[in-house]
Amino acid sequence: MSAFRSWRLRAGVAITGFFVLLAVIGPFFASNPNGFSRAEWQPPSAAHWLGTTQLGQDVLAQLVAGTRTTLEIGAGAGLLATVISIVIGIGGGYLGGLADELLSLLSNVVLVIPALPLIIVIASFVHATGVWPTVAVIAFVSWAASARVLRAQTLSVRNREYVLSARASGERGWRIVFFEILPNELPIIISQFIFSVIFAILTQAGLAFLGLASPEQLTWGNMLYFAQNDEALSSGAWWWFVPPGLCIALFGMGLALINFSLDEILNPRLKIYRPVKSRKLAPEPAEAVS
Amino acid sequence: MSDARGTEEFPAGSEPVLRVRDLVVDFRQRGGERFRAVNGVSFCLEKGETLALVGESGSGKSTVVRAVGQLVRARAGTVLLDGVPAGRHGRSLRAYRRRVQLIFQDPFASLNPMHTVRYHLARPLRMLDRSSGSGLDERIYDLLRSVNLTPAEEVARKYPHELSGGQRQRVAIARALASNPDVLLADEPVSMLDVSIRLEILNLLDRLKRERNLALLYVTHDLATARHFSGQIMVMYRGEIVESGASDEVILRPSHPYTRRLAAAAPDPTASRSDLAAARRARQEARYG
Amino acid sequence: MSGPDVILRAEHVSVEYAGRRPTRAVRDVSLELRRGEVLGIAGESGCGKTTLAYALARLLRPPAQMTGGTVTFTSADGQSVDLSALSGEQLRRFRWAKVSVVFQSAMNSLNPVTTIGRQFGDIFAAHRPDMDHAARERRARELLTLVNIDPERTVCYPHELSGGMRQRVVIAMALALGPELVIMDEPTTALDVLVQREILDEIERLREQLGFSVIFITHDLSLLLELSDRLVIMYAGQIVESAPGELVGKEAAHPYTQALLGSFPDMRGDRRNLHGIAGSPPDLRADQVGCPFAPRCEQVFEPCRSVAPRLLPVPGRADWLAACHKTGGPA
Repeated sequence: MSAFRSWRLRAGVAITGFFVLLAVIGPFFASNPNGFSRAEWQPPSAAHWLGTTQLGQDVLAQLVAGTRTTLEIGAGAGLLATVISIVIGIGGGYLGGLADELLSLLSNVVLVIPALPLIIVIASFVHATGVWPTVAVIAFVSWAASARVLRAQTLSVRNREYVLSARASGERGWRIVFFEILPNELPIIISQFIFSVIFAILTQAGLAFLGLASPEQLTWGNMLYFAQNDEALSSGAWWWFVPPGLCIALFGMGLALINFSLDEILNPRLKIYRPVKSRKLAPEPAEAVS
Repeated sequence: MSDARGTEEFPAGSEPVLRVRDLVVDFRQRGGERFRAVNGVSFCLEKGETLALVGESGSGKSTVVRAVGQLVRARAGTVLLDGVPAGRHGRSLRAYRRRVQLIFQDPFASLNPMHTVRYHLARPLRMLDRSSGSGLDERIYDLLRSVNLTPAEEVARKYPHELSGGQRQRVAIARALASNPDVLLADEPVSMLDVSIRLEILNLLDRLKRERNLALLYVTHDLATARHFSGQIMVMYRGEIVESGASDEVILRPSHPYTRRLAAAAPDPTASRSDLAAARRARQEARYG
Repeated sequence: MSGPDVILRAEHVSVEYAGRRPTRAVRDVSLELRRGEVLGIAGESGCGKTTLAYALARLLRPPAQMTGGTVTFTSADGQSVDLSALSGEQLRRFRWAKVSVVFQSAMNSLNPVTTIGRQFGDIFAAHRPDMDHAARERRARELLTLVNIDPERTVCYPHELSGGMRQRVVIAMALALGPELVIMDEPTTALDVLVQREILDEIERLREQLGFSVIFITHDLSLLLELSDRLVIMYAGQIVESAPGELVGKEAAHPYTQALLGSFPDMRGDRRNLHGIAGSPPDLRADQVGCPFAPRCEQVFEPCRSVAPRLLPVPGRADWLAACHKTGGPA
């Protein structure tokens, strides 16, 4: 695919692909992440590639196991947030009038409330344990920005002539939204989805770090929590907190690279041209006139 | 201001298929003010005839098309289809839409870039009578052939970006014909096409009009094609019809000052350079003193 | 009418858009513009006229690049300069001061968040850094007066002006440094008929007053018949006819020009059977064999499909060129 000429896409897909692979098949190969052992506070060695925790657990095993849960939460929350934003953003944009005003008001209010404090409050009330409550809580605070973007896009698309033609043909409203408008907004929706996933992972890490996530869940964020709790920072046990932090950063970067490359691929005007080696061609050979 | 045709009575049996009376369309602007885009426009369309609506941008001619096509709500006025008021909701609106179809100006925007040509034509056919399967395909190919897009099977598979502007406009015309309409409202159908393609498309519309006995409203800013392709002309300025009548009359012997200015502003390939220079100097005097 | 005082000469210019299959948008084009003349370049979309204009003004950006030919500019003091060889500071000093450009839909490209006066100021800041603020303001007002706009409007934003006024502002900007050549690419296409007539009148008046030369590019052949001294018709990246503007309307030599003239219904003339040109222009990525117009030409005959016609004088006229086997031939 010529899209893969973009190095950003190649790098982004490689990084995210690596983590997805790790999440899916990694746990079959790693040792038990929860297994206690006597080898506590061990720096990286042949036996434990990323060292051990305060309780002698293998950090690498934890990292691999944690990848799956972290990605589940990230993708789940991102998906849920995107679905909500589609319904509210595109629905409001197309309906117009009072419905649009109300939905828009709702989006703006949710957007303005600071996300992390809101999540903290909700999480402490709901006792967000388990994957699904976490997903729901994160999605609840992160759909609004995306909804605004989709609404703006919908307002512009609904006046395009192909939408007017569909109306003039007698198409029903819901068909117009799903088959005429939505497909044209797919690039933005995908982009917003990727942003939502990044946000979800970072938020989850933040929640976990603040101790608001269930300690039974094994995620990168939780690893950071335990590391900080057991004073890995001050005792210099870098192998415990650097790997999960690095994973969060790398995965986020991989997703961001894909997002940037989407722009380059989908909008030909933003294409970055590498200068062609200039060569002066000989003028067209003169043709004899009969 | 001469009255637009539409206020006279017709002998029984030749009632125009579409009659518009005193159409008024307002737009709400920022700050709550109302802007009257169309101010009391009346006209009628007859089967097998072309009526040209001529005006510059901002005259309201596109708004007239959208209001009659029921894409924009009119503030006042009546639209009669075969003497019966046009349906506004539900089934009667759908019935109206089947008989009154629109063609838009921008060939690059009137087709959905995400759908094939086949989809664009299948939808109106399906909505007409729920046909499907091979019968549907045949009808799609027939439509494409009637607008000279051949080989039909190949064209049906293509996406809009794989077609030229002229081809896209033909697809738009085919789509408009899918429901077997009686009235076609064409809003500047060729102004965004290359000059050499324009006549092809206008000739196509003319032929289809004759073959199917359609009533055609041809909206344009180009006086020359308006004169050549229509029997009657209406000139619109700032939301009102300022002059109307037989095409040759209005264009060759305009009576309203606005129409005169429009006719004078059109390029004249037959005039000599000295004549043109003299005319130009006269205009500059008039403009700036 | 001056003698052969040539201000711009393009020889064998070719422009290519890079890609897997490069698009050869301009193929071996040669033309010359005489001082004080209006050269009209007519053609439909995809014929290469805008690409040619950009090549002449050194405005091509990747993936477009000039793959051959030279462009020579001779200023009023007699100095000749090879435009394609200029670079850096020399090119910058050349731009806008000697050759300026009015782009397509330029009136829609004015910066919406700065006043007109500031935008004039930007031109002077870039090209005449020694002008102080008062001098810039003065010159901006002069330029507005030149195009018949109230000089008080230097404080207006673009959206406060009508389309016609914005286009006149853009023309005034193109004239800001007193260039010898102005290239106009479809300057009136987005305008209404009445406003278009105004702008054309304006351009003519300015030309008479200031004496600059004009290259006027448009698809609207009927405009060019009125105002160009010399007219060039482009098709598929090549010039197919080059003729005196006043005469080509009646005696077009090339079948494409004839067909194009036939595509404009005459508003005042008799009704006649009108038809456009069937088919579509050739794919510019492919090599052309024979005449590019042959598939659509009604006067096509044997040599047309295999041998490409050269642009040669029509018999008896040294100043009238056509690339057609029917008419071209040693004079």
